[in-house]
Amino acid sequence: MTWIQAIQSKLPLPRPEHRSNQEIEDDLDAEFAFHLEQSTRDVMNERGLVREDASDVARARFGDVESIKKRCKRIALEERIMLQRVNFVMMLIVALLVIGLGIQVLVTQRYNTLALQAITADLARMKFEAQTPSTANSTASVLVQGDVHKPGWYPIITRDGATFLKDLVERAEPTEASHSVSIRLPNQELGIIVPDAEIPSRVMQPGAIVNVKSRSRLSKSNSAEKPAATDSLPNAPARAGFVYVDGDVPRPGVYNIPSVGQLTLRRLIAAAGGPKGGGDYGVLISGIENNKNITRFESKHFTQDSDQDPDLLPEDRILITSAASKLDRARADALYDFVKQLMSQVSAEHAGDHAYIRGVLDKMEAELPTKYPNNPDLQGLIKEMIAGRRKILEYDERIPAPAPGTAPATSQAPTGAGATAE
Amino acid sequence: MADTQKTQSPELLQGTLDMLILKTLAGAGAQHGYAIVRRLRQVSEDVLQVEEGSLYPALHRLEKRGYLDHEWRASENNRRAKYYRLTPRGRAQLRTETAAWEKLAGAIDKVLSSNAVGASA
Repeated sequence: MTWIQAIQSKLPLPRPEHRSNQEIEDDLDAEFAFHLEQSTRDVMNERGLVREDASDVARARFGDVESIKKRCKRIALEERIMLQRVNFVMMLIVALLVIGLGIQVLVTQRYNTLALQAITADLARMKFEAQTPSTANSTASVLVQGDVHKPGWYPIITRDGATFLKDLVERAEPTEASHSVSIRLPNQELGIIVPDAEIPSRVMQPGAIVNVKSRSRLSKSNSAEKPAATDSLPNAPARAGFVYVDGDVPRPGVYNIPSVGQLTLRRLIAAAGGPKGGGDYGVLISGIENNKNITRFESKHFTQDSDQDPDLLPEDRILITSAASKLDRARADALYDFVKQLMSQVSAEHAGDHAYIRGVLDKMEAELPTKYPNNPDLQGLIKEMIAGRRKILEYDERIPAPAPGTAPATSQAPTGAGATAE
Repeated sequence: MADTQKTQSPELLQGTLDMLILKTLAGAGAQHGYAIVRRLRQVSEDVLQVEEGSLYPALHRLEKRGYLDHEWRASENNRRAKYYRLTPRGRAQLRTETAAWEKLAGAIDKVLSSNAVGASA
Protein backbone atom coordinates (compact mmCIF):
# COMPACT_ATOMS: atom_id res chain seq x y z
CA MET A 1 0.00 0.00 0.00
CA THR A 2 1.47 3.25 -1.05
CA TRP A 3 1.29 6.28 1.23
CA ILE A 4 -1.31 7.82 -1.09
CA GLN A 5 -3.57 4.79 -0.65
CA ALA A 6 -2.94 4.93 3.10
CA ILE A 7 -4.13 8.52 3.21
CA GLN A 8 -7.10 7.74 0.94
CA SER A 9 -8.23 4.92 3.22
CA LYS A 10 -8.28 7.34 6.15
CA LEU A 11 -10.32 9.94 4.33
CA PRO A 12 -14.10 9.63 3.86
CA LEU A 13 -13.66 9.36 0.11
CA PRO A 14 -15.28 6.80 -2.21
CA ARG A 15 -13.04 3.77 -2.54
CA PRO A 16 -11.31 3.82 -5.90
CA GLU A 17 -12.49 1.16 -8.32
CA HIS A 18 -9.64 -0.99 -9.63
CA ARG A 19 -11.63 -3.67 -11.45
CA SER A 20 -12.20 -3.57 -15.19
CA ASN A 21 -15.73 -3.21 -16.56
CA GLN A 22 -15.77 -6.91 -17.41
CA GLU A 23 -14.68 -7.90 -13.90
CA ILE A 24 -17.36 -5.71 -12.36
CA GLU A 25 -19.95 -7.31 -14.63
CA ASP A 26 -18.77 -10.83 -13.76
CA ASP A 27 -18.87 -10.13 -10.01
CA LEU A 28 -22.44 -8.79 -10.26
CA ASP A 29 -23.56 -11.82 -12.30
CA ALA A 30 -22.05 -14.22 -9.74
CA GLU A 31 -23.55 -12.34 -6.78
CA PHE A 32 -27.06 -12.19 -8.31
CA ALA A 33 -26.90 -15.82 -9.49
CA PHE A 34 -26.08 -16.95 -5.95
CA HIS A 35 -28.98 -14.88 -4.59
CA LEU A 36 -31.47 -16.27 -7.11
CA GLU A 37 -30.26 -19.82 -6.54
CA GLN A 38 -30.64 -19.55 -2.76
CA SER A 39 -34.03 -17.89 -3.12
CA THR A 40 -35.26 -20.58 -5.54
CA ARG A 41 -34.24 -23.35 -3.15
CA ASP A 42 -36.04 -21.70 -0.25
CA VAL A 43 -39.22 -21.18 -2.27
CA MET A 44 -39.13 -24.84 -3.37
CA ASN A 45 -38.81 -25.94 0.26
CA GLU A 46 -41.36 -23.52 1.67
CA ARG A 47 -44.08 -23.86 -0.95
CA GLY A 48 -43.33 -27.26 -2.44
CA LEU A 49 -43.08 -25.86 -5.96
CA VAL A 50 -41.15 -27.40 -8.83
CA ARG A 51 -37.86 -25.74 -9.67
CA GLU A 52 -39.12 -23.73 -12.71
CA ASP A 53 -42.03 -22.21 -10.81
CA ALA A 54 -39.87 -21.52 -7.75
CA SER A 55 -37.31 -19.77 -9.99
CA ASP A 56 -40.05 -17.51 -11.40
CA VAL A 57 -41.13 -16.56 -7.87
CA ALA A 58 -37.53 -15.83 -6.88
CA ARG A 59 -37.03 -13.60 -9.95
CA ALA A 60 -40.25 -11.76 -9.21
CA ARG A 61 -39.08 -11.08 -5.64
CA PHE A 62 -35.66 -9.95 -6.86
CA GLY A 63 -36.94 -7.42 -9.39
CA ASP A 64 -35.47 -6.41 -12.76
CA VAL A 65 -31.99 -7.93 -12.78
CA GLU A 66 -30.71 -5.76 -15.64
CA SER A 67 -31.82 -2.42 -14.20
CA ILE A 68 -30.39 -3.33 -10.77
CA LYS A 69 -27.14 -4.37 -12.41
CA LYS A 70 -27.04 -1.04 -14.17
CA ARG A 71 -27.50 0.84 -10.91
CA CYS A 72 -24.73 -1.19 -9.27
CA LYS A 73 -22.35 -0.54 -12.18
CA ARG A 74 -23.01 3.16 -11.98
CA ILE A 75 -22.14 3.11 -8.28
CA ALA A 76 -18.93 1.16 -9.00
CA LEU A 77 -17.89 3.58 -11.69
CA GLU A 78 -19.26 6.79 -10.23
CA GLU A 79 -15.89 8.41 -9.76
CA ARG A 80 -14.84 7.52 -13.29
CA ILE A 81 -18.03 9.01 -14.69
CA MET A 82 -17.60 11.96 -12.38
CA LEU A 83 -14.01 12.41 -13.53
CA GLN A 84 -15.06 12.37 -17.16
CA ARG A 85 -17.71 14.96 -16.44
CA VAL A 86 -15.27 17.07 -14.45
CA ASN A 87 -12.74 16.83 -17.27
CA PHE A 88 -15.33 17.87 -19.80
CA VAL A 89 -16.54 20.76 -17.67
CA MET A 90 -12.96 21.87 -16.96
CA MET A 91 -12.13 21.78 -20.65
CA LEU A 92 -15.24 23.78 -21.40
CA ILE A 93 -14.35 26.34 -18.73
CA VAL A 94 -10.76 26.60 -19.98
CA ALA A 95 -11.94 26.98 -23.56
CA LEU A 96 -14.44 29.66 -22.55
CA LEU A 97 -11.78 31.43 -20.49
CA VAL A 98 -9.35 31.40 -23.40
CA ILE A 99 -11.98 32.70 -25.78
CA GLY A 100 -13.10 35.30 -23.26
CA LEU A 101 -9.54 36.43 -22.60
CA GLY A 102 -8.86 36.60 -26.32
CA ILE A 103 -11.89 38.79 -26.88
CA GLN A 104 -10.95 40.89 -23.88
CA VAL A 105 -7.42 41.37 -25.18
CA LEU A 106 -8.66 42.29 -28.65
CA VAL A 107 -11.21 44.74 -27.31
CA THR A 108 -8.69 46.26 -24.89
CA GLN A 109 -6.09 46.52 -27.62
CA ARG A 110 -8.52 48.22 -29.94
CA TYR A 111 -9.61 50.57 -27.19
CA ASN A 112 -6.01 51.32 -26.22
CA THR A 113 -5.07 52.00 -29.81
CA LEU A 114 -7.91 54.46 -30.16
CA ALA A 115 -7.15 56.04 -26.81
CA LEU A 116 -3.48 56.32 -27.70
CA GLN A 117 -4.34 57.92 -31.02
CA ALA A 118 -6.57 60.41 -29.27
CA ILE A 119 -3.89 61.17 -26.68
CA THR A 120 -1.21 61.51 -29.35
CA ALA A 121 -3.41 63.85 -31.32
CA ASP A 122 -4.13 65.91 -28.19
CA LEU A 123 -0.43 66.06 -27.33
CA ALA A 124 0.49 67.08 -30.85
CA ARG A 125 -2.14 69.81 -30.77
CA MET A 126 -1.00 71.05 -27.35
CA LYS A 127 2.62 70.99 -28.47
CA PHE A 128 1.70 72.85 -31.61
CA GLU A 129 -0.28 75.45 -29.67
CA ALA A 130 2.56 75.83 -27.19
CA GLN A 131 5.21 76.19 -29.87
CA THR A 132 3.43 78.09 -32.57
CA PRO A 133 4.56 81.62 -32.02
CA SER A 134 2.13 84.43 -31.92
CA THR A 135 1.67 86.07 -35.27
CA ALA A 136 2.10 89.47 -33.68
CA ASN A 137 5.32 91.21 -34.61
CA SER A 138 6.84 91.47 -31.18
CA THR A 139 10.04 93.35 -30.58
CA ALA A 140 11.29 90.41 -28.54
CA SER A 141 10.75 88.02 -31.46
CA VAL A 142 12.50 87.05 -34.64
CA LEU A 143 10.93 85.90 -37.89
CA VAL A 144 11.99 82.45 -39.03
CA GLN A 145 11.10 81.60 -42.62
CA GLY A 146 12.24 79.65 -45.63
CA ASP A 147 12.51 75.88 -45.79
CA VAL A 148 10.84 75.24 -42.44
CA HIS A 149 7.63 73.50 -41.48
CA LYS A 150 6.60 76.24 -39.07
CA PRO A 151 7.61 79.66 -40.30
CA GLY A 152 6.64 82.55 -38.06
CA TRP A 153 7.63 84.84 -35.23
CA TYR A 154 9.50 83.17 -32.38
CA PRO A 155 10.25 84.71 -28.97
CA ILE A 156 13.97 85.03 -28.24
CA ILE A 157 13.63 85.56 -24.51
CA THR A 158 11.96 82.60 -22.87
CA ARG A 159 11.67 81.46 -19.29
CA ASP A 160 14.89 79.53 -19.87
CA GLY A 161 16.76 82.67 -20.86
CA ALA A 162 18.13 83.82 -24.17
CA THR A 163 17.51 81.57 -27.16
CA PHE A 164 20.31 80.72 -29.54
CA LEU A 165 19.87 80.80 -33.28
CA LYS A 166 20.14 77.01 -33.41
CA ASP A 167 17.14 76.59 -31.05
CA LEU A 168 15.06 79.04 -33.05
CA VAL A 169 15.78 77.21 -36.28
CA GLU A 170 15.05 73.85 -34.71
CA ARG A 171 11.79 75.08 -33.27
CA ALA A 172 10.69 76.11 -36.74
CA GLU A 173 11.49 72.54 -37.86
CA PRO A 174 13.66 72.81 -40.98
CA THR A 175 12.37 70.66 -43.82
CA GLU A 176 15.80 69.08 -44.15
CA ALA A 177 18.52 68.29 -41.67
CA SER A 178 21.06 69.82 -44.02
CA HIS A 179 20.38 73.52 -44.35
CA SER A 180 22.12 76.85 -44.40
CA VAL A 181 20.99 79.79 -42.33
CA SER A 182 21.18 83.47 -43.17
CA ILE A 183 20.01 86.35 -41.01
CA ARG A 184 19.08 89.94 -41.70
CA LEU A 185 19.31 92.29 -38.78
CA PRO A 186 16.76 95.08 -38.31
CA ASN A 187 17.63 98.35 -40.04
CA GLN A 188 20.02 96.56 -42.36
CA GLU A 189 19.58 96.12 -46.04
CA LEU A 190 21.62 92.99 -46.50
CA GLY A 191 21.42 89.56 -45.02
CA ILE A 192 24.47 87.56 -44.04
CA ILE A 193 25.05 83.85 -44.16
CA VAL A 194 25.82 82.49 -40.71
CA PRO A 195 28.64 79.92 -40.72
CA ASP A 196 27.33 76.61 -39.42
CA ALA A 197 29.83 76.68 -36.57
CA GLU A 198 28.30 79.91 -35.23
CA ILE A 199 24.68 78.80 -35.37
CA PRO A 200 24.59 77.03 -31.97
CA SER A 201 26.08 79.96 -30.05
CA ARG A 202 24.68 82.94 -31.91
CA VAL A 203 22.29 85.05 -29.83
CA MET A 204 19.63 86.82 -31.82
CA GLN A 205 18.59 90.44 -31.82
CA PRO A 206 14.87 91.19 -31.64
CA GLY A 207 13.29 91.92 -34.99
CA ALA A 208 15.86 89.96 -36.97
CA ILE A 209 14.78 87.81 -39.87
CA VAL A 210 16.14 84.28 -40.11
CA ASN A 211 16.07 82.57 -43.48
CA VAL A 212 16.52 78.81 -43.59
CA LYS A 213 17.49 77.20 -46.88
CA SER A 214 17.64 73.46 -47.46
CA ARG A 215 20.95 72.46 -48.98
CA SER A 216 19.48 70.07 -51.49
CA ARG A 217 16.78 72.55 -52.46
CA LEU A 218 14.96 69.70 -54.07
CA SER A 219 11.48 70.50 -52.89
CA LYS A 220 9.87 72.88 -55.27
CA SER A 221 6.74 72.70 -53.18
CA ASN A 222 8.48 74.65 -50.47
CA SER A 223 9.78 77.25 -52.84
CA ALA A 224 6.24 77.52 -54.16
CA GLU A 225 4.96 78.31 -50.69
CA LYS A 226 7.85 80.57 -49.96
CA PRO A 227 7.57 83.56 -52.31
CA ALA A 228 5.45 85.60 -49.93
CA ALA A 229 8.14 85.24 -47.29
CA THR A 230 11.15 85.78 -49.52
CA ASP A 231 9.54 88.62 -51.40
CA SER A 232 9.28 90.52 -48.14
CA LEU A 233 13.07 90.52 -48.20
CA PRO A 234 13.96 92.45 -51.36
CA ASN A 235 17.61 91.47 -51.13
CA ALA A 236 17.30 87.89 -50.03
CA PRO A 237 20.86 87.05 -49.08
CA ALA A 238 20.52 83.46 -50.12
CA ARG A 239 20.27 84.43 -53.76
CA ALA A 240 23.06 86.65 -54.91
CA GLY A 241 26.61 85.42 -54.88
CA PHE A 242 29.02 83.14 -56.64
CA VAL A 243 29.40 79.44 -57.25
CA TYR A 244 32.49 77.59 -58.35
CA VAL A 245 32.54 74.84 -60.96
CA ASP A 246 35.21 72.17 -61.30
CA GLY A 247 35.55 68.88 -63.08
CA ASP A 248 34.51 67.50 -66.44
CA VAL A 249 33.13 70.65 -68.05
CA PRO A 250 34.75 72.71 -70.83
CA ARG A 251 34.54 75.93 -68.86
CA PRO A 252 35.18 75.46 -65.14
CA GLY A 253 35.36 78.61 -63.08
CA VAL A 254 33.32 81.12 -61.16
CA TYR A 255 29.68 81.87 -61.98
CA ASN A 256 27.39 84.35 -60.37
CA ILE A 257 23.90 83.73 -59.11
CA PRO A 258 21.52 86.36 -60.49
CA SER A 259 19.86 88.57 -57.93
CA VAL A 260 16.46 87.77 -59.40
CA GLY A 261 15.37 84.20 -59.99
CA GLN A 262 17.28 81.04 -59.20
CA LEU A 263 20.39 79.51 -60.64
CA THR A 264 19.76 75.82 -60.88
CA LEU A 265 22.35 73.12 -61.32
CA ARG A 266 21.16 72.30 -64.83
CA ARG A 267 21.45 75.90 -65.98
CA LEU A 268 24.89 76.23 -64.42
CA ILE A 269 26.19 73.10 -66.17
CA ALA A 270 24.80 74.33 -69.49
CA ALA A 271 26.60 77.64 -68.92
CA ALA A 272 29.83 75.78 -68.15
CA GLY A 273 29.63 74.09 -71.55
CA GLY A 274 27.77 70.93 -70.60
CA PRO A 275 29.40 67.72 -69.45
CA LYS A 276 32.49 66.62 -71.31
CA GLY A 277 31.66 63.71 -73.61
CA GLY A 278 27.89 64.08 -73.01
CA GLY A 279 25.77 61.28 -71.59
CA ASP A 280 25.12 60.68 -67.90
CA TYR A 281 27.24 62.38 -65.31
CA GLY A 282 27.41 62.86 -61.58
CA VAL A 283 27.61 66.05 -59.55
CA LEU A 284 28.96 66.72 -56.07
CA ILE A 285 27.88 69.92 -54.37
CA SER A 286 29.60 71.11 -51.25
CA GLY A 287 28.09 73.93 -49.30
CA ILE A 288 29.45 77.23 -48.11
CA GLU A 289 33.00 77.70 -46.94
CA ASN A 290 34.16 75.49 -44.06
CA ASN A 291 31.01 73.39 -44.26
CA LYS A 292 31.88 69.72 -44.74
CA ASN A 293 28.47 68.72 -46.02
CA ILE A 294 28.59 67.24 -49.53
CA THR A 295 25.58 66.21 -51.61
CA ARG A 296 25.80 63.89 -54.60
CA PHE A 297 23.47 64.16 -57.62
CA GLU A 298 22.95 62.03 -60.72
CA SER A 299 22.29 63.83 -64.01
CA LYS A 300 19.59 61.39 -65.02
CA HIS A 301 17.52 62.60 -62.04
CA PHE A 302 17.84 66.38 -62.23
CA THR A 303 18.00 66.74 -66.02
CA GLN A 304 14.72 64.93 -66.61
CA ASP A 305 12.72 66.17 -63.67
CA SER A 306 12.90 69.88 -63.00
CA ASP A 307 11.62 69.24 -59.47
CA GLN A 308 14.85 67.38 -58.84
CA ASP A 309 17.00 70.19 -60.26
CA PRO A 310 18.58 71.82 -57.20
CA ASP A 311 18.83 75.60 -56.79
CA LEU A 312 22.36 76.76 -56.03
CA LEU A 313 23.43 78.84 -53.06
CA PRO A 314 26.23 81.36 -52.90
CA GLU A 315 29.63 79.79 -52.25
CA ASP A 316 28.54 76.34 -53.48
CA ARG A 317 31.34 74.23 -54.93
CA ILE A 318 30.14 72.13 -57.83
CA LEU A 319 32.13 69.18 -59.10
CA ILE A 320 31.12 67.49 -62.37
CA THR A 321 32.19 63.92 -63.15
CA SER A 322 31.50 62.95 -66.78
CA ALA A 323 29.98 59.82 -68.27
CA ALA A 324 33.31 58.06 -68.61
CA SER A 325 34.38 58.99 -65.12
CA LYS A 326 30.99 58.18 -63.70
CA LEU A 327 31.37 54.64 -64.96
CA ASP A 328 34.65 54.55 -63.07
CA ARG A 329 33.81 54.38 -59.41
CA ALA A 330 37.43 54.96 -58.40
CA ARG A 331 37.43 58.20 -60.36
CA ALA A 332 34.27 59.51 -58.72
CA ASP A 333 35.64 58.57 -55.31
CA ALA A 334 38.96 60.28 -56.07
CA LEU A 335 37.14 63.49 -56.93
CA TYR A 336 35.12 63.20 -53.79
CA ASP A 337 38.30 62.60 -51.79
CA PHE A 338 39.89 65.62 -53.35
CA VAL A 339 37.06 67.89 -52.29
CA LYS A 340 37.00 66.42 -48.82
CA GLN A 341 40.74 66.68 -48.35
CA LEU A 342 40.79 70.24 -49.50
CA MET A 343 37.94 71.17 -47.23
CA SER A 344 39.42 69.45 -44.22
CA GLN A 345 42.66 71.35 -44.66
CA VAL A 346 41.28 74.72 -45.60
CA SER A 347 39.16 75.68 -42.63
CA ALA A 348 37.45 78.99 -41.93
CA GLU A 349 40.47 80.82 -40.61
CA HIS A 350 42.35 80.06 -43.83
CA ALA A 351 39.52 81.23 -46.06
CA GLY A 352 41.30 84.40 -47.12
CA ASP A 353 44.84 83.06 -46.80
CA HIS A 354 45.62 82.34 -50.41
CA ALA A 355 49.28 81.55 -49.78
CA TYR A 356 48.22 78.80 -47.39
CA ILE A 357 45.63 77.40 -49.81
CA ARG A 358 48.23 77.44 -52.61
CA GLY A 359 50.55 75.50 -50.28
CA VAL A 360 47.88 72.88 -49.67
CA LEU A 361 47.21 72.57 -53.40
CA ASP A 362 50.93 72.22 -54.16
CA LYS A 363 51.23 69.53 -51.50
CA MET A 364 48.23 67.62 -52.88
CA GLU A 365 49.65 67.82 -56.39
CA ALA A 366 52.99 66.50 -55.17
CA GLU A 367 51.26 63.58 -53.43
CA LEU A 368 49.33 62.50 -56.53
CA PRO A 369 51.94 60.06 -57.95
CA THR A 370 52.07 58.22 -54.61
CA LYS A 371 48.33 58.38 -54.03
CA TYR A 372 47.30 57.04 -57.45
CA PRO A 373 50.53 55.36 -58.61
CA ASN A 374 49.10 53.34 -61.51
CA ASN A 375 46.41 55.71 -62.62
CA PRO A 376 47.71 58.58 -64.76
CA ASP A 377 44.13 59.35 -65.77
CA LEU A 378 43.13 60.08 -62.17
CA GLN A 379 46.32 62.03 -61.58
CA GLY A 380 45.54 64.14 -64.67
CA LEU A 381 41.97 64.72 -63.52
CA ILE A 382 42.96 65.87 -60.04
CA LYS A 383 45.73 68.03 -61.52
CA GLU A 384 43.11 69.67 -63.67
CA MET A 385 40.98 70.31 -60.64
CA ILE A 386 43.90 71.71 -58.70
CA ALA A 387 44.56 73.99 -61.64
CA GLY A 388 40.90 75.03 -61.52
CA ARG A 389 41.29 75.86 -57.84
CA ARG A 390 44.30 78.02 -58.60
CA LYS A 391 42.25 79.84 -61.23
CA ILE A 392 39.60 80.52 -58.61
CA LEU A 393 42.23 81.93 -56.28
CA GLU A 394 43.53 84.15 -59.08
CA TYR A 395 40.02 85.31 -59.72
CA ASP A 396 39.48 86.13 -56.05
CA GLU A 397 42.70 88.13 -56.04
CA ARG A 398 41.64 90.14 -59.06
CA ILE A 399 38.17 90.94 -57.76
CA PRO A 400 37.74 91.66 -54.05
CA ALA A 401 35.34 89.53 -52.02
CA PRO A 402 31.92 89.50 -53.70
CA ALA A 403 29.28 91.50 -51.94
CA PRO A 404 26.06 89.51 -51.99
CA GLY A 405 23.07 91.34 -53.37
CA THR A 406 25.07 93.88 -55.28
CA ALA A 407 24.66 91.72 -58.37
CA PRO A 408 27.94 92.14 -60.16
CA ALA A 409 27.81 92.75 -63.86
CA THR A 410 28.95 89.25 -64.58
CA SER A 411 26.41 87.17 -66.43
CA GLN A 412 26.00 83.44 -66.34
CA ALA A 413 28.85 83.13 -68.79
CA PRO A 414 32.07 82.00 -67.22
CA THR A 415 33.89 84.84 -65.62
CA GLY A 416 36.97 82.92 -64.62
CA ALA A 417 39.62 81.79 -67.04
CA GLY A 418 37.35 79.50 -68.95
CA ALA A 419 40.18 78.15 -71.06
CA THR A 420 41.53 76.00 -68.25
CA ALA A 421 40.34 72.72 -69.57
CA GLU A 422 40.88 73.44 -73.22
CA MET B 1 -51.97 2.62 2.78
CA ALA B 2 -48.68 1.99 4.56
CA ASP B 3 -47.27 0.46 1.35
CA THR B 4 -48.13 3.46 -0.83
CA GLN B 5 -46.55 5.84 1.66
CA LYS B 6 -43.40 3.76 1.64
CA THR B 7 -43.11 3.92 -2.15
CA GLN B 8 -43.96 7.61 -2.16
CA SER B 9 -41.00 8.48 0.08
CA PRO B 10 -37.97 6.75 -1.46
CA GLU B 11 -35.45 9.06 0.29
CA LEU B 12 -36.68 7.97 3.67
CA LEU B 13 -36.67 4.38 2.53
CA GLN B 14 -33.15 4.73 1.13
CA GLY B 15 -31.66 6.16 4.32
CA THR B 16 -33.59 3.71 6.40
CA LEU B 17 -32.51 0.74 4.31
CA ASP B 18 -28.85 1.74 4.68
CA MET B 19 -29.25 1.93 8.44
CA LEU B 20 -31.03 -1.39 8.58
CA ILE B 21 -28.30 -3.09 6.54
CA LEU B 22 -25.62 -1.74 8.86
CA LYS B 23 -27.63 -2.85 11.89
CA THR B 24 -28.15 -6.35 10.48
CA LEU B 25 -24.44 -6.80 9.78
CA ALA B 26 -23.52 -5.40 13.20
CA GLY B 27 -25.52 -8.10 14.92
CA ALA B 28 -24.58 -11.11 12.78
CA GLY B 29 -21.03 -10.71 11.44
CA ALA B 30 -20.16 -11.36 7.76
CA GLN B 31 -23.17 -12.24 5.61
CA HIS B 32 -24.11 -12.45 1.94
CA GLY B 33 -26.86 -10.38 0.36
CA TYR B 34 -29.54 -13.04 0.41
CA ALA B 35 -29.04 -13.71 4.11
CA ILE B 36 -29.33 -9.98 4.86
CA VAL B 37 -32.65 -9.82 2.97
CA ARG B 38 -33.99 -12.82 4.77
CA ARG B 39 -32.95 -11.47 8.14
CA LEU B 40 -34.55 -8.07 7.46
CA ARG B 41 -37.80 -9.71 6.48
CA GLN B 42 -37.68 -12.06 9.43
CA VAL B 43 -36.89 -9.43 12.06
CA SER B 44 -39.46 -6.96 10.70
CA GLU B 45 -42.00 -9.76 10.52
CA ASP B 46 -42.50 -9.22 6.80
CA VAL B 47 -43.37 -5.52 7.19
CA LEU B 48 -40.31 -4.52 5.15
CA GLN B 49 -41.19 -6.07 1.81
CA VAL B 50 -38.44 -4.48 -0.26
CA GLU B 51 -37.65 -5.61 -3.74
CA GLU B 52 -34.77 -7.93 -2.97
CA GLY B 53 -32.60 -6.72 -5.83
CA SER B 54 -32.66 -3.13 -4.61
CA LEU B 55 -30.61 -4.27 -1.62
CA TYR B 56 -27.53 -4.61 -3.79
CA PRO B 57 -27.11 -0.99 -4.96
CA ALA B 58 -27.40 -0.03 -1.28
CA LEU B 59 -24.78 -2.61 -0.28
CA HIS B 60 -22.39 -1.47 -2.98
CA ARG B 61 -22.86 2.18 -2.12
CA LEU B 62 -22.14 1.50 1.55
CA GLU B 63 -19.01 -0.39 0.57
CA LYS B 64 -17.95 2.49 -1.64
CA ARG B 65 -18.22 4.81 1.33
CA GLY B 66 -16.03 2.53 3.37
CA TYR B 67 -18.74 1.33 5.80
CA LEU B 68 -18.52 -2.23 4.54
CA ASP B 69 -15.95 -4.46 2.95
CA HIS B 70 -16.38 -7.88 1.38
CA GLU B 71 -14.70 -11.19 0.59
CA TRP B 72 -15.64 -14.04 -1.71
CA ARG B 73 -15.87 -17.38 0.02
CA ALA B 74 -17.80 -20.64 0.03
CA SER B 75 -21.32 -20.54 1.45
CA GLU B 76 -22.82 -23.09 3.87
CA ASN B 77 -23.92 -25.18 0.89
CA ASN B 78 -20.50 -24.80 -0.65
CA ARG B 79 -21.21 -22.24 -3.35
CA ARG B 80 -19.10 -19.19 -4.09
CA ALA B 81 -20.73 -16.20 -2.38
CA LYS B 82 -19.88 -12.54 -1.62
CA TYR B 83 -19.82 -11.92 2.14
CA TYR B 84 -20.15 -8.38 3.50
CA ARG B 85 -18.77 -7.24 6.84
CA LEU B 86 -19.05 -4.02 8.82
CA THR B 87 -15.90 -1.88 9.02
CA PRO B 88 -15.02 0.24 12.08
CA ARG B 89 -16.11 3.28 10.12
CA GLY B 90 -19.42 1.57 9.31
CA ARG B 91 -19.90 0.84 13.00
CA ALA B 92 -19.37 4.49 13.86
CA GLN B 93 -21.78 5.51 11.11
CA LEU B 94 -24.40 3.13 12.49
CA ARG B 95 -24.12 4.76 15.91
CA THR B 96 -24.53 8.21 14.41
CA GLU B 97 -27.50 7.20 12.30
CA THR B 98 -29.18 5.31 15.12
CA ALA B 99 -28.89 8.31 17.42
CA ALA B 100 -30.29 10.61 14.73
CA TRP B 101 -33.11 8.20 14.00
CA GLU B 102 -34.09 7.88 17.63
CA LYS B 103 -34.12 11.62 18.03
CA LEU B 104 -36.31 12.02 14.92
CA ALA B 105 -38.58 9.16 15.88
CA GLY B 106 -38.98 10.60 19.37
CA ALA B 107 -39.85 14.00 17.95
CA ILE B 108 -42.38 12.55 15.52
CA ASP B 109 -43.88 10.52 18.30
CA LYS B 110 -44.27 13.62 20.46
CA VAL B 111 -45.90 15.57 17.61
CA LEU B 112 -48.28 12.76 16.83
CA SER B 113 -49.32 12.27 20.44
CA SER B 114 -49.84 16.04 21.04
CA ASN B 115 -52.02 16.12 17.89
CA ALA B 116 -54.06 13.26 19.25
CA VAL B 117 -54.59 15.23 22.49
CA GLY B 118 -55.55 18.33 20.54
CA ALA B 119 -58.00 16.38 18.40
CA SER B 120 -59.66 14.82 21.38
CA ALA B 121 -59.85 18.12 23.24
